[in-house]
Amino acid sequence: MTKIDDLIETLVSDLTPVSRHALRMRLASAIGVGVIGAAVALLVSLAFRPHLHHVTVAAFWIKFLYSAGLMCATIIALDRIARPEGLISDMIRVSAAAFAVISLLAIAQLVLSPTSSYSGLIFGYSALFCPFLIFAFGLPAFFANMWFLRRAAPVNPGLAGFVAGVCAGAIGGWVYSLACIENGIPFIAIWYTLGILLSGLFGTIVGKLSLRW
Amino acid sequence: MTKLVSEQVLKDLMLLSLDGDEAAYRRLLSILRDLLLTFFRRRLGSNGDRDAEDLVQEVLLAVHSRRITYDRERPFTAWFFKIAKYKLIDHFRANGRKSGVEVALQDEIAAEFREEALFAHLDVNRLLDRLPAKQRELLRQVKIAGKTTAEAATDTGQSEVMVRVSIHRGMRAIGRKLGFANDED
Repeated sequence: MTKIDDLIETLVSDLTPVSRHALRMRLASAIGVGVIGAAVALLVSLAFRPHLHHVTVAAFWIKFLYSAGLMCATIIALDRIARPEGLISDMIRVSAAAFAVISLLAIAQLVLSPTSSYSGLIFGYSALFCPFLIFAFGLPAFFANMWFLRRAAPVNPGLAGFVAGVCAGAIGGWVYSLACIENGIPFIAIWYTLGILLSGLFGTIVGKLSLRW
Repeated sequence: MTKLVSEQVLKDLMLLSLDGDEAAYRRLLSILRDLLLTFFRRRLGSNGDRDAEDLVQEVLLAVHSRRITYDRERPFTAWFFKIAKYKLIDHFRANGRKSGVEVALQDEIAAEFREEALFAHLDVNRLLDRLPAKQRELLRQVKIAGKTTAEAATDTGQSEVMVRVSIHRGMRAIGRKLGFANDED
């Protein structure tokens, strides 16, 4: 009993004010670090790019908006999952809806295109490495997100790690979309999504190992 | 009604604490300590006293070091109970009680870990707080901790008859506050 009283006194003497948006400010700096990290990775990778391709305006905006949408949903989810009583089911639904929209656009594009163009629309030039580049571009964001979560109070380590991962993947995809050379919507629906999920899978594993408190 | 008041009291104390008010913080942690002690003790059974005290310390530490995760717009109790529940389940896991029956039991315990159950204790504490210190302590020992009047008498250095009278008066005072004048006990 007295041990607890001692602890209470220690905690009281250690009390420092916490500003209203302290956690969100911390999240904002983590996201900032992640975006800057991805941008640096992009600039470095541009040096190794063999040649330029023509990207249609529509394809650019679809990539950009799809990854930006996922990024917003997962940042909100990250803010929620960092709190013990936070729920993220609505953000999962928003992400699923974004994927449904881009899947429908992809199917529409395939229906309207000749069969001979399918390989280009689905696999493009970069299907083999696109998911891995998105994952790699997202790594700085991933570490920043984990730094953020380790100081917060997520009660489900696996799920919290997953959210940190998909958020990092979405940031990686969003920055990557600025320089991506593909024009096929099916390509974006498949390989961007896979890259982001790969990042989420990685996050689940790391989260289970390191997000207990 | 009392539930709303209780949430409001705790939340107000938490908001003051977040602004750096040490007195409010001390009061908040003391209330939380009482809530947690009673509750963990009941959950952990007769020989879980030490574990209960360890758990209380763990939860108080977590409340302190992770208070940045409390959203001022949201209920305090929901936040607090999630932390307490997390630590309780973690405690079971750490003790390696992982058989199917135990896990089912844990889920049941977690489900029972509701606000209402804790507020019942909070309200008892609030009622007790209005009594004179001596009476309050006796009621705690005999009616909550389950000591006999003889034990309470030796602890406090009073005669057993005085203890009985004091408890009787305390119960009547509480009864009056709750709105029924009939004698209890």
